[in-house]
Amino acid sequence: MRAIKYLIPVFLLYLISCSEKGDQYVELRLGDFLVENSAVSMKLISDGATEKYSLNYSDLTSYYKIKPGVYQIQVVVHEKVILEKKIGFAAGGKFTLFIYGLLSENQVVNQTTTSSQLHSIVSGAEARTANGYLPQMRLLDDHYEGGKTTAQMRWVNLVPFEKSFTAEASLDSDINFGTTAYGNDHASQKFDIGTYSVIWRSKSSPIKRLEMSQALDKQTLYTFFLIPEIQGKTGDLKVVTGESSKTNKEE
Amino acid sequence: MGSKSSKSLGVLAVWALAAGGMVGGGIYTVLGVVIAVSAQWAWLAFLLTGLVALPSAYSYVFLTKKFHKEGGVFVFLEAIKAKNMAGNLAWMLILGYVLTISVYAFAFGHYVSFAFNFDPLITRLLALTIVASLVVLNLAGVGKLSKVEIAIVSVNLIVLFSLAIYGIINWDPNQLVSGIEPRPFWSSLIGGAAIFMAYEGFQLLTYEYSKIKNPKKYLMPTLLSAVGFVVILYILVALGATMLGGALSLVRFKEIALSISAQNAFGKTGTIVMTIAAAFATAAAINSTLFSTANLSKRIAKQNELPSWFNHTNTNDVPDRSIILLGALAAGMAVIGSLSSLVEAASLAFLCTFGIVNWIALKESDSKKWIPLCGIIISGIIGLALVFRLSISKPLALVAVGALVLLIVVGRPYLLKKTIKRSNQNESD
Repeated sequence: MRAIKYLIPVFLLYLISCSEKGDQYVELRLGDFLVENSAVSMKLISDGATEKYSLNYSDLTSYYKIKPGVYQIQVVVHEKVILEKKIGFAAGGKFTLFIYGLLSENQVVNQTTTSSQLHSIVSGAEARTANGYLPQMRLLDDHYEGGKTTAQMRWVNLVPFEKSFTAEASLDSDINFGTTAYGNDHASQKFDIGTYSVIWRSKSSPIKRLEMSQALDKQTLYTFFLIPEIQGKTGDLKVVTGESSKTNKEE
Repeated sequence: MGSKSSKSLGVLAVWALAAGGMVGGGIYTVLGVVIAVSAQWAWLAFLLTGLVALPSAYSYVFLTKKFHKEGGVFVFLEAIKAKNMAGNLAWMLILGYVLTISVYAFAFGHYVSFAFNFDPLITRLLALTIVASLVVLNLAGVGKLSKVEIAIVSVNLIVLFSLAIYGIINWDPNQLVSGIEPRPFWSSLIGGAAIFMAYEGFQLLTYEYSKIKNPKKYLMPTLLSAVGFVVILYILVALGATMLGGALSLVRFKEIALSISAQNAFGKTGTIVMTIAAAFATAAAINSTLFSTANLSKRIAKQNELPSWFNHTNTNDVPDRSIILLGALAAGMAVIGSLSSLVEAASLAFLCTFGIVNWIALKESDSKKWIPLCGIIISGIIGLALVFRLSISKPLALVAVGALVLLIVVGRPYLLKKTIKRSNQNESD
């Protein structure tokens, strides 16, 4: 018992000595997957200052460094605000903020279906609904939380009017890479380093809808945004890939 | 099985077992779930649900002392001659315990797996393995190891407190909503409803009533102070861990939220310490719940409210069939279930149980009626919030729970009648 009395402060001191000072800024990248030909403006407003970013369809920017704080985020299309949200960004955070969906004819700010509203009330940050394919804004946490010698992949289904997709990744053998409904993401999954072939199919269909090749580097999180190809034939798909490496990769 | 000496649990041991029973699996599994719903109000969600746990603890102790019997709500209902309701609730409670064990096993698998970067399949296998190992230990008659449990609880509380305090020292309110939208304060009601099971552990102590030293004098203040302490601890951990992990990260990694916070704060050392704490805490919680539930099943079977099949004991006087069946069900759920569904179904079962215990206490007490009344009102409101949440976000799970309750109410009398008839027939043969 006496030993424990001395061990506790020693243990606490040891823990404090292990403490890691994080970054003092936020890393944020922006994605425009709103199925729309016109450019989109994303405004980040905090403490009276506004940062404005212009994006075209399928753009995914590099990471910007922004100051921590609670931001008012506005998405403007055709000089009209279509989405507005308050989101917090704390120091050390690494995020992708992206928009997706389709504009309605009489689009109003934060147009939401009743079902989507109810889900938002009861599930908060975990609410995932199609919202009638109306525009939505979402954030992904981009921190790599995996092993030193492996990588991680995840994907987000942003293809309106199609229920679900199934993905498969192959290196030496086929690996199930999840089935995901519109607006949802397949959580980050561990993969060994190598060059993978990733295939997407409509759920329960043997026909390949899209195939791509991806080389994986260690301690990196790869995010695939599966979106419609608006330049090609109806039904064509496209993948936008985002890479998020772990800062200070360990050998 | 269990502690051989009678009256072996002193005040400190009772306090540690009650606090450990709650913290053991609770906070490790529910933090990410509640942050998703309540964001910066997650701490308030723990406070609100604590306001159900406190009067419920009072009612449990009041009734245990009044009837001077261990056995919890089943015994209370029998004592007030509500035999049918006692049977129905006992079955529901057993279901609640099975769900709880599965949540603990799920958490065990995920925390250990995260530390070693294992595949999802191994994660599920770990959940299965821990339940199977503890089933085997219980069958061998090792049973409840109070001293080991107390040691685990002590270490566990130190680790959680250290994390919480370190997080609060690094106060940064942006972390409470980092990557998510700030939520209105009333969202704490829905968040609290989803994670109520984090408080259920204290009532396992009422099954140990006969082993507690001078319970008439010490049980009430000990249990109430343990629940009060856990409410404060949960509030501190909700704030401190979020300061270190950031809201969206804890939601994304809700299965291992505390490991993420510990890793962000203390690097690899943090992950190792948290993994050890979580693994031991969840294993102890599984063991203690499995042991108590199996004994409860045996007691219920003796009263003919469960088929006599559950009454069977092995050479170590262990209710072997109960332990195997409960373990198998819990392991199965841990392998196939999702965290939120398991936590919420268990929360619903315990909200009902605590509401009923408060109702019995209200009926049976002559003074301080306001305490169980508060318990009934708040558990009713939180229960409605949970049903609302489930009906929107997991309607199928709600239907499944409803169907199970219906099956218990309708099917139980039929099944019991059949088994009693068969055993009578066997006896006459």
